[in-house]
Amino acid sequence: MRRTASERLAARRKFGMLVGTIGVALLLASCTGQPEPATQQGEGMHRLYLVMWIIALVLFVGVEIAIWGFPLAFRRRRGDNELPAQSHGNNVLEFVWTAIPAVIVITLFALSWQQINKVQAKEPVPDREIKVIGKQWAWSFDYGNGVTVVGENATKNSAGFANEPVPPRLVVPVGQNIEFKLQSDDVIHSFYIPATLYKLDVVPGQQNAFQVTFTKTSEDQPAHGVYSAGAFQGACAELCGTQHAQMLFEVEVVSPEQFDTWLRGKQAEANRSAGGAATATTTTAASQ
Amino acid sequence: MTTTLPAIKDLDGPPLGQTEDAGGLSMPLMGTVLFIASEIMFFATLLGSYYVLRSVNNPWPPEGLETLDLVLPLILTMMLLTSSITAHGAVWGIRNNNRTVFVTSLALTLLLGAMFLVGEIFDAVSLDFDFGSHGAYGSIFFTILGFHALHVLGGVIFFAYQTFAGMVGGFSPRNYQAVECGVWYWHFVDVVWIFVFFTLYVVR
Amino acid sequence: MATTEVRPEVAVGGVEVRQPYRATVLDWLTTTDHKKIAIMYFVTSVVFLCVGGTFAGLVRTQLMQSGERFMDGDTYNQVMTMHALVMVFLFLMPMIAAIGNYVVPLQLGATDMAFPKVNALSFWLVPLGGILMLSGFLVKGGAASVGWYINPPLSNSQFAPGNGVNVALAGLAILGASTTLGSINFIVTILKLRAPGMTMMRMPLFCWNMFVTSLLAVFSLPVLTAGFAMLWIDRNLGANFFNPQAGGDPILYQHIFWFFGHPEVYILLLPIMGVVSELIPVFSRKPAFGYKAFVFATLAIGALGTMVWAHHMFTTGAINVSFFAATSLLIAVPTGVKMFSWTATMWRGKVKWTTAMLFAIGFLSQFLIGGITGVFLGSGSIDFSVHDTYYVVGHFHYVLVAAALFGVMGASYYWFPKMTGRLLNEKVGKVQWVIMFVGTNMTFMAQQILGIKGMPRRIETYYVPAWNTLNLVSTIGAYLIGLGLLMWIINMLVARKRGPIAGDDPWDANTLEWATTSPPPYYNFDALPPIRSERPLFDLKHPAEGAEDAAESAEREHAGAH
Repeated sequence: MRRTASERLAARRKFGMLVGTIGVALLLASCTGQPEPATQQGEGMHRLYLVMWIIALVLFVGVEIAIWGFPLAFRRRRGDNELPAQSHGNNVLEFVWTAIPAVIVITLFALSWQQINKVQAKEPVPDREIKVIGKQWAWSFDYGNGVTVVGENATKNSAGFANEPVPPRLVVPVGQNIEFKLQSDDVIHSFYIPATLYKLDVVPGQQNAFQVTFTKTSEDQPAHGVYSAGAFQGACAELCGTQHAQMLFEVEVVSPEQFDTWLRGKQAEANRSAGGAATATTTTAASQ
Repeated sequence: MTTTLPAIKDLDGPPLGQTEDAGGLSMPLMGTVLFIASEIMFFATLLGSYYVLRSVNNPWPPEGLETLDLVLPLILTMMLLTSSITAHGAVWGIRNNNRTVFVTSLALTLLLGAMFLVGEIFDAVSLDFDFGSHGAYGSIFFTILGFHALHVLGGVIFFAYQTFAGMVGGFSPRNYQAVECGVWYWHFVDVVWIFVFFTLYVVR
Repeated sequence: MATTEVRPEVAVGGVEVRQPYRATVLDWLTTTDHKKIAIMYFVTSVVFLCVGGTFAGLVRTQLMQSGERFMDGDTYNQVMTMHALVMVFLFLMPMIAAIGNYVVPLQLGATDMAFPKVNALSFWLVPLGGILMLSGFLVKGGAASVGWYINPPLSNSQFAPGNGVNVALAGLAILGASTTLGSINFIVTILKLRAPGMTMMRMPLFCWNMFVTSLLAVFSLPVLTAGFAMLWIDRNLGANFFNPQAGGDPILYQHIFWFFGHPEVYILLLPIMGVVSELIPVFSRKPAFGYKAFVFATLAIGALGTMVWAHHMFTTGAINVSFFAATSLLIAVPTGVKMFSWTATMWRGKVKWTTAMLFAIGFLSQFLIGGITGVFLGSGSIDFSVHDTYYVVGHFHYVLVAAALFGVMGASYYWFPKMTGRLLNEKVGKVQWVIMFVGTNMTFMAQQILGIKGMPRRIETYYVPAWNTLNLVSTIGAYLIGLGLLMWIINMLVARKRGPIAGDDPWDANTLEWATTSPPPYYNFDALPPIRSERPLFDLKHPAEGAEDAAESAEREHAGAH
């Protein structure tokens, strides 16, 4: 049974719309997937991401329609043994479709370049410095003056499987410019907080550092598995050995007042233990 | 759904056994050139690594290794450069059907190469550092030297075989491509040595 | 039936006379015939695809839900690392060598490769290197568990003391030598053995892509070999190249690895683009739209591909992000040119929806996704958020599975009749296509979304229950891909003996490999048609359009002379 031309056209449109809708749905699904940025630097990245997304979406839909539409529209009918017109190319068209992507790419580069410079920019004197120490397979955070948060390796059960880790909690103040100084003495790790839309490798023998300013607190964050409520997720993003997957941490962003209270408490704790240690072994912990 | 083709044999097609491109390098030489190109990338990586390691370490060369004795390496360089000339003589010899020149030059090349190797081993043993000492300096120094020596050894073995083949009547003015390929490879080994020598002993 | 003469060899080698078993085995073991070597490459590659695919299935099973305890961390890392190494070096690279070996000499109208014995050596090094690499599972400490880029310090003797990394390095060095020799062979064959009339600008696009791929391999593989040698010396002779505690530089290794690693992506992809550039014109019954643009785009991709390696290192804090972002983004331009030219080839054609064409269209539609996500990654800034997450995993699997594997499938449905004389089952092929198309998109789209949400790559398990659904989708998709591959293998095994007889030219194709019998005789051709364009067989079948082709090609030749 042969369909009329208009029926074919309608079917073709319907198919095109179906493919388009599925594509758009999938793309939007991954678009909305990006965590809400929690830092100044991350907000710029998120805006750029959305701009790129719209450009990508338009290109994606347009080209997919061509990829599926052309062979459907120009399919060979049964019994048709004639050759189609043998066109070898078209210089104008080829120039246009070289030039347009070139313009898009240059625009994207210009936008991206700004962001690269912004996320890599550093104040000469940050409000606060925190040393991040990655080791196989736990994170530790050093606030100076002996105040540290030390992560522990995940335990193993009798069958050799790692148990659920307890992520150490990195506490930082909102609205202050924080410099993370990254240090590793064993292998390469990567310090990754998804909500900052940023990560930097922790390379042994290399001084890596970056600055961020959190723009919101983490109090409304729900609990996620081993990550407790009220904190952003953090993880090691570079394969670092057997327990790479357990090398997690969480980031609690609090108001500066809360942070000062917390820091004072930790300081007192540190002084007590340093004092204890000094009397016992006369170490230099207090002077560090 | 098979289609019927016109009988190709009756057409005015190109003859079999001929090629579009008849000029330029012969196939073995072109293969050799490409092989040398890949070897150049290999040594470029090692030499590049030397300069990267040099830039991240201070002081370089490390303390205690400020001077290296240049006399023996210079003699070795001269020997290897001479062997490139004798290698060329071998090609000239076989091309002009002069078997004496061919075999003698090849044997001389082989001898110079072997002496270079012995000299280099002597030099390497006399150095008071090794792979693991003095940080990355010893590592990259001996790795470059060692890989170059392995390439010289490969050339020496190849020439030893060809000298023997030449003595028992192998090769002729119409059939000497294997010799030519070996000689081109030998020139490459020499040129790389110049870069190695300047990097390891002069620039440091 | 074809009217080219039935040659005595076909009858003898085919059905009537059977060689004794031992003679057949000996024949295959000692052959230097490019077609037999290609078939051996193909079989080896499919065997390793099964191995690598099993590893993939294990990995996806472990990641099906949070806190899964199917494999422990160390086992997982071994399986994940070997999955990558097997798929890249033992499936895709030999597969490309297989297609190239079979098709290039035939498309050029040559009798064999330039160096048949070297060709045999290249092949035999593959099972040797492969077995050596996989023997890691038997040595103390297990196989390499450090990821396929084998980054020090994790891979040095302190943190990876077992022999797994050593055998992996040795195996990879052997495979590298195999590919280097094979590539030299392709380059010389293409430069020296084209039949009279086949100028460079009349070469089929597949050959052009193999040419550029081979140049890239000769250029980049020795770099990797040097890097592996240095790492091996570090591990076994106590050197300090990459040991940061003793003046070494782990970032240097990453530069060396990616200086090879990025061209490698194009080494894998360009031949597949070449395959698609053959399939689309044949099944659209039109010439490739913009032959010259295709050639220049291929050259441009090859050239730019050597200048972008450090975009794999944006987060190391040790490189100039902007420079490498710029070069990386530029690659989108020639790639876009190819994409537009492919679609324009189908415009106003008369497209035959064969299985091979379906796979080519599948390649286009999924490569587009891989390409677009690549722009996000290459931009440098967005990469900071998605680097080393499942977004990257999804991206490169879109390129290497959803695109490259689909291209391999297309190639097999297209050239299988030439290799065996019998057609694969088209209906099974179409069902397989649907299963694989659904499977790849489920698997890798889910991974991309997970990556944007922040799931790091190479983790043995995760502790965020919110990621469960997407991971389950990904795992089911992976099983579907496996099912599709199983159907493909069964289809080939059945068709080899029982498939319909193909004849010389089942697809009404354009290039010289279809101007001889299926399978071709030992010496390939009895006679060649005149070669006046990149479609000599088409010109033969359609003299009027052939004259047009010849004029077009002469003009191109003229323009190329400047």
